[in-house]
Amino acid sequence: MRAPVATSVAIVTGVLVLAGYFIPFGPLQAMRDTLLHWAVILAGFALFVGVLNLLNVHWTKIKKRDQNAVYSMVVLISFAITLVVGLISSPAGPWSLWLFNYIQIPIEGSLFALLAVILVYAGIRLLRRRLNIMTFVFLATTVLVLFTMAPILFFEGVPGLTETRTVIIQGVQWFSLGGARGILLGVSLGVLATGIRILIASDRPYSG
Amino acid sequence: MSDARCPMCSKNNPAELEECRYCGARLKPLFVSPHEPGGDTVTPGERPIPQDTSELESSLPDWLRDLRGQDNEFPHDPEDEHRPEWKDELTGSISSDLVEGDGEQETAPDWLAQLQSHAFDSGDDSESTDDQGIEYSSEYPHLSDQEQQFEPVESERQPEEGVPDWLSMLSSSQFSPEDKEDLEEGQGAHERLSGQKATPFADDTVKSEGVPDWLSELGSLEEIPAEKQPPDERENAFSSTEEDLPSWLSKLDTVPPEKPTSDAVPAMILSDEDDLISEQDPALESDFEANELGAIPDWLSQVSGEETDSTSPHPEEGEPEGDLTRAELPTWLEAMRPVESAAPTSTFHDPQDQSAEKSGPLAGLRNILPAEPEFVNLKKPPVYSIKLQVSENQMAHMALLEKMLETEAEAKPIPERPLVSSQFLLRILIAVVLISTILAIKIMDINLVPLPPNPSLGISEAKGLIDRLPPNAAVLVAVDYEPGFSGEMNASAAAVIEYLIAKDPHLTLVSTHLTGPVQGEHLLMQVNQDRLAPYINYVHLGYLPGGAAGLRGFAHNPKQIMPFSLNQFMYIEDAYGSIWEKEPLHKINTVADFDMLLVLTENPHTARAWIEQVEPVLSNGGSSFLMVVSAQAAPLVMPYFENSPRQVDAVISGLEGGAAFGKEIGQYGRPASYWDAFGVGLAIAILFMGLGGMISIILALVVKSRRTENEGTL
Repeated sequence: MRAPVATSVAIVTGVLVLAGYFIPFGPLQAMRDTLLHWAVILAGFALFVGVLNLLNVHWTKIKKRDQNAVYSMVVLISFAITLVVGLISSPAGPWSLWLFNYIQIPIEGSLFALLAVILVYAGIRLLRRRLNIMTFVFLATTVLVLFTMAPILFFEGVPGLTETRTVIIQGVQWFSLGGARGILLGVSLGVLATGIRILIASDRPYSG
Repeated sequence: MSDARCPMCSKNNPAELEECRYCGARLKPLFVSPHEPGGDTVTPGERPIPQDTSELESSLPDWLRDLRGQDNEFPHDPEDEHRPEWKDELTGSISSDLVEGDGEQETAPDWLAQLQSHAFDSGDDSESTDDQGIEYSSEYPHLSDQEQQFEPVESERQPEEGVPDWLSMLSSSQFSPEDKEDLEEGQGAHERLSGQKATPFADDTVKSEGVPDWLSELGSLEEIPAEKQPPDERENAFSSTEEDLPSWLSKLDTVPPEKPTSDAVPAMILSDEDDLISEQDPALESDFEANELGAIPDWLSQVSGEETDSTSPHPEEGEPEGDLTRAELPTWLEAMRPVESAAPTSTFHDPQDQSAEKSGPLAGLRNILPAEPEFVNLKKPPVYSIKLQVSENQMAHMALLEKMLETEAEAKPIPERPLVSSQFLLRILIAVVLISTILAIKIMDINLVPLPPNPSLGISEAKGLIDRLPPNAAVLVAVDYEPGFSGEMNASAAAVIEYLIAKDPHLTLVSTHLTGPVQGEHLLMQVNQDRLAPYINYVHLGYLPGGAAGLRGFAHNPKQIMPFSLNQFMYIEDAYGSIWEKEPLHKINTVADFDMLLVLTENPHTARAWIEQVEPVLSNGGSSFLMVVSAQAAPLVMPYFENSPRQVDAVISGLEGGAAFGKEIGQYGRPASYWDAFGVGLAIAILFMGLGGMISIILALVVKSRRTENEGTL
C-alpha cells in the first residue's frame, strides 16, 4: 500500500469524527472537536502556505523575465501594499476598507456588469448560432425567469396579466425547486460516496 | 647455347622451343618483322637470293609468255645510260621474264604488272616524276607519310640487292617496241580506269648512290597539291595514250572512272567528324585528305580483306561445327543474359590499323588488340517516349489534385476583422441602452416600477424572527459573499440589517471568505450612513478557515475555533482578556447559544454548508436561522426553507426579496432605490433577447432554406 501511515491516519480520523456524530460519548465527541480544531488550524496554515507559493511563483516569473512578468510584479506590489495596510490598520480597518471600497468592489462589480451585457448579447445570438429545440427551450426558460423577476411596465392594468405572471412564477419555482432538490440529492450522494471511499482507503487524495 | 627468355614469365627456355615450357606463352612471334634479323623479307641493302622459278613459268598467261619473246625488240632508250644500274637490272629482268617465260606469264600477279609498267615508263622525261609522286601518294591513301616514303625506297632497293633470279632474268631481257606500246596502253587504260594517270619513273634524277633524286624529291612532291601541277602535261599524257588505245580498251574507256565521292567515307569516320577536323586542325585535315583520296590497290585491299576476315567471329562462335548441334539455352538462362543495350555486341577492330604487337605473347601479330576499349562501343540505352497518353478526364483530375495541393500548402489567410462590425455595433448598442437607461432612472429617481405587490416567500417569517429577538440578543452574522455581488447583496441585506440593528442586538461577524471581514465592515458602514448614531456594538471574528469542517467545529466550539477578534483595539478591555469572556459572548459555548444566525451569501454551496453543518447544532438550542441570499442561490436554498421541518426559518432572496422586506417593514431605503433601475434594465434585457431571438430564428430559417435550394441546384 502506498503511504500506509497517511492512509491509516486518514481512516482513523474519519472514523472517529463520524463516530462522534453518531455515538453520544463524551471522550469521543471531545476527540471529534479536537480533530476539527486541528483541521481548522491546518486549513489556515495551508492558506498561508498557498500565499507563500503564490509569491514564489510570481517572483520566479519576474526573475525569469517572463512575458507576463509585469502582471506578476503588479501582484507582488499589491500583495505588499495590502499586507502592510492590513498589519497596520487590521484586516477590517479603515485603510483596508478604503482599498476594498475603491478598488476591489468596483473591479468585481464592473466584471459582473459587463457579464450582464454579454449575456444579453449571447441570448440574442443564441438562436442564430444553433437553432434546435433545446436552444429554443433554454432561451424561453431564461426569458420566463427574467419575466418573473422583472416588473410589468406599463401593462399593470391589463386584466389577467398579473394572475398569469403569478402562475408563471409558481411554475418556474416548481421547476427550479425540483431541479435544485435533484442537484442537492446528487451532491449528497456524491459526498457520501466520497466519504466512504476515503474511509476504506479506496480514494487517497492525501497520498499525492 | 643461348636461351630464349619468356616474355611472360621471364624464365629461360631452350632456343629451339617455340613455346615456353613453363607458362606456354609463345617464345617466337608468329610474324617476324622485316626489321628483325632472320626474317625472310628482303631488307633494304640486302640482295635477294635468286630462286629457280622455271617450274612456275607454265602458270604464266600467254600474253606474258609472248612478252618474253619480244623483249629483245625494245629500242634502247638513249637515256638508259643515265639510268642506275639497279633499275636496269630490274627492267631487264622484268622484260626477260615477260618475254622468255612461257608458263609464268599466265600467273603473274598484278603488282608485277604494275612494276612492268613502271619499268617501261622509265624512259620518260624527268618532269613525269612529279606526276609519279602524286600518283603514288594518291595510290596509297591509307598509309602514313612515313610509310609512303618508305615503300618506294624499299621497292627501289630490292632489285639491287635481293632481286630473285627470275626477276634478274627479266631485267636482262628486252621488250619489243610493240609489246612496250601494248604494255603502255594497258597500263594507261588501267590507270584511267582507276581515275589516275600514268607517271613514268625519272631515272636520271638519281643524285646519290643510295637514294635516287626522284626518290629524294618524292617527299617534297607529295606535299604539292595536284592542282598546282602543269595541267597541259597531264592532258598531253592522257591524249597520247587515248589515241593509241586498242578498240577493246577504248570501250572500257567509256565507262566512267570510279572516283571517290564525298559520301565514300571510311567506316569509322563520319562526315561530321571531317568538318570537325577541318575546323580544328588544318594539319589533320591535310593528312586525312591524303589518306582518303585515291583507291586502295588490289593487293592491299586483298590483304586488308584477309586481315579483316581474321577479325570476324570464329566459326565456333556463330556456326555449328561439324556434327555438333548448337546448344539451346533454357529460357531462364536466356532471361539472365545481359540486356543488349548494356552488353557490347562486338569488338571494334580498325581494318586500317596495321600496327603489330612488339612484345608479349602477341608479338608480331597485327590488329589483334582493339583500337578502343570496349566500353566505347556500348550502345545507348533504348529511349522510350516520355509522353503519357493522358485523357481529358485524367487531365481534369490532375488539375484538381494540383489545385488541392497548392491550396494545402498555402496558409489560409486569416480574415481581417473589420474594426466596426455588425456584432460589435450590437454589443455596443446593448451596453449603451442598458447603461443609459439605468443611469437615467437612477439619476432622475423616477418611480416607474412599483414594489412587489405581494410579499415574497419567507419575508413575513423573517420579519417575525427579528421581532421575536430578545433585547441585547446575541446574533451571529455570517458575511459570505464576494465583493462583486456587493451591489445586490448589500441592497438585499441592508433592510434586514437596519431592521435588526433597530432591536439593538450584539452582532458577531464571521466569514468563511477571505474578503468576508472587510465585506462585513463595508455592510455596516453603509448601514451606519443612514443612521444618526453609528452602530458599533459588534465583534468581528474574522475569517473562518476549513470550509465545512471549520463550520462544523465553529458550530460546536466557537471559542476554540475563533478565539480572537479583528477589532480588539476597539475594545480596550480585550487587551486584558478574550472577547468570549465579555458580555454577551461569555455565555456562548456553541452556535446554539446565539439567539439568531443570519447568513448573507450569494453562493449556494456556502449556503448549503451553513445549513448542513451549523443548522443541526443551531436547532438544538432553539435559535432562529435567517438567510439572505442572492437570486442565483435562491433556487438551491428554497428547498431547505420549504422542507418540513424547515432547516431554514426564513429566506430573503435577491433584490426583490430585499425590496419586499423593505416594503414589509415600511422602510423604502436602498432596495427601493435600486428597484426601478433593476426592473427597467431587466425589462430591456427581456426585450432584447425576445426580439433578437425572433430575428435570429427568421434569419436562420432563411439561410437554411437558401442552403437547401443551393444543394438542390447542385
